[in-house]
Amino acid sequence: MSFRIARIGVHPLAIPFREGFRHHLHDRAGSDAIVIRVEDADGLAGHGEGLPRPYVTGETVESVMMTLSGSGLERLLNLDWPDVHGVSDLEAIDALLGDLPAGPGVRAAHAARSALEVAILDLALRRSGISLGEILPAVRNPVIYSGVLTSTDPSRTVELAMQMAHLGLKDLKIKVGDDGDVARVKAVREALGPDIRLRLDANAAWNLETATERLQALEEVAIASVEQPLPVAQDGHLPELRRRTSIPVMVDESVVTEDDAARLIETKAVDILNVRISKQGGLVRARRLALTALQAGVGVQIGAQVGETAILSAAGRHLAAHLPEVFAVEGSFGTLLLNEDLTAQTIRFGHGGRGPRLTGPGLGVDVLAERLARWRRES
Amino acid sequence: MNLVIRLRERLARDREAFLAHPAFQAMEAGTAPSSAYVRLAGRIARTHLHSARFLAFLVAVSPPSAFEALRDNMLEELGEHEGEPSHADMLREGLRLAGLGPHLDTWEAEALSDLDTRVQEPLLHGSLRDLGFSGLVEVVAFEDFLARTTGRFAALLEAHGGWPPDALGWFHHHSEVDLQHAEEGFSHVAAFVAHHRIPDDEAWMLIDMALRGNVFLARYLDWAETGAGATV
Repeated sequence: MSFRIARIGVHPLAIPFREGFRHHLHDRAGSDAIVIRVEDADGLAGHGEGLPRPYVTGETVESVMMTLSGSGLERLLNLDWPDVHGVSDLEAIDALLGDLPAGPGVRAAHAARSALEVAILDLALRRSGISLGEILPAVRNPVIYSGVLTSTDPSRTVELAMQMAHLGLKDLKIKVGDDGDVARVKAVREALGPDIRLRLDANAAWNLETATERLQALEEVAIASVEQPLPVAQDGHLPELRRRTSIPVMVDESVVTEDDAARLIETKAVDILNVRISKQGGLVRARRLALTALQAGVGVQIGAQVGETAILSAAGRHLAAHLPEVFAVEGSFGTLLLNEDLTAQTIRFGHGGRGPRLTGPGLGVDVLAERLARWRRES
Repeated sequence: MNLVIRLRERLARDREAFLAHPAFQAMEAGTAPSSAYVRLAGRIARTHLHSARFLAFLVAVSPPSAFEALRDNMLEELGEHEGEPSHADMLREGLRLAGLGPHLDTWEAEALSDLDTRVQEPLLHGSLRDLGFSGLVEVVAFEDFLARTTGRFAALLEAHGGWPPDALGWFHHHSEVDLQHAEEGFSHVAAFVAHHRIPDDEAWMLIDMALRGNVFLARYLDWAETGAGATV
């Protein structure tokens, strides 16, 4: 059995954050998510989401809107999409969707593709009346999320770390990338003691020498990983960095496509890949990439987009619950970060970072149309 | 520094940031679009139409020395005290007189939806003590805020939002009454900390989490950006 998409709605959003979010490459005060709503002829709807990141895929809100307003979308209305009963149907939808054209300056139109792909999967699953979790069964429940510390002020970073520990989080990521990195990370470790896992994320702030210096200075404080220590253009230095430090090296911005992953694995450049659905161009590709990495002995973190809504968080929850191994899981901040989320169900994790398995049809969250309208970005 | 003094300073800082925010300044100056005044009214409604239910939870977990005052506060909110209408009904009446009656069903539903969300979402805190204290801090924060700002809210709504004077009862009531509640509230915070023997540094951590970001901006001017560079 198959179905056709009758309507596609594109909803660029602007949802303010409760607090700003900062890292080396960007300051962010609100969500710039783009939500796609696809409907079948009966009016049944599925929703997907992507968040453009110029410093990752080259996409901007404008470029995504351009991609999604082109005649390419009309093609999707004339395709026969398979109903979903197994993983092979997910793969078939991925193949049918194909690649979206990347405009000028865009490396891969993955945020746009993620929004479309997740929406089509959600609709297909809802048509079959089944949860994504029935196709991708959970091997862990709950999913345990980690926290993230973005402050550059040492005392504030420690305060926030203590708060997160008080909320039961056992795994924290510290954004680094300035001269105060070493002192700040050591202060956090001293305050938290040895039982909390600490990861670092440099967002490409360092070069090989700086990374070596900082990481060697931090080896004594038990760091579980360092994410994207070098700019993407310096991926060639990653094998050398791995030789210079015992701290496992993770990449994020460096791994956008499945070819990127193959290259990084082949050159033994990484210990862990940060897999994010929007960045990878959809759930199916994210899953495939993650499984490829795990089969090669490379770890996988299921990451998130800062400012993602419950739609993408739900897709991430399913993926994180399903994979045989995950190094760490991020996201599901919900209204901890957004002033309002889009769905009837809450997606935010609870004490200890616990996010329960989602069991409702499709992604397991129902988008409220009035909230899509309320947070629509003004052009 | 004394915990209550520190809390007062924090609330004053957040209040000043709210009043200085360009979105609020534009409404006071009358340069905001008319839709902003409607949205502000909607946010006030969504925040307060069913807030008395939350007080019931606080009464349940209150320390003995604060129990009666919190119970009386809740009964007053519910209109079960000295024959006064409930605060929610005062607000509903004001919204109708301001011509916003057609929005009321939507705002009621949103307020109830928020209550549902608070009930269904996984608890972040590890104990009812922490959850109750966080709730108390939030209630005290809003009582203090309203007591000191509702006069300005009323003035801008009357001058630029099309509200007639007789629609502003809820605002005037809060500016007169909640200063007393706010002052009582600070003593309830101190009583809660003392009763449960919460160390000051831990109590401050809970306060800081309860007031994360600027709760007044998040609640009343939800469309206004808090500004990049602050930290999560």
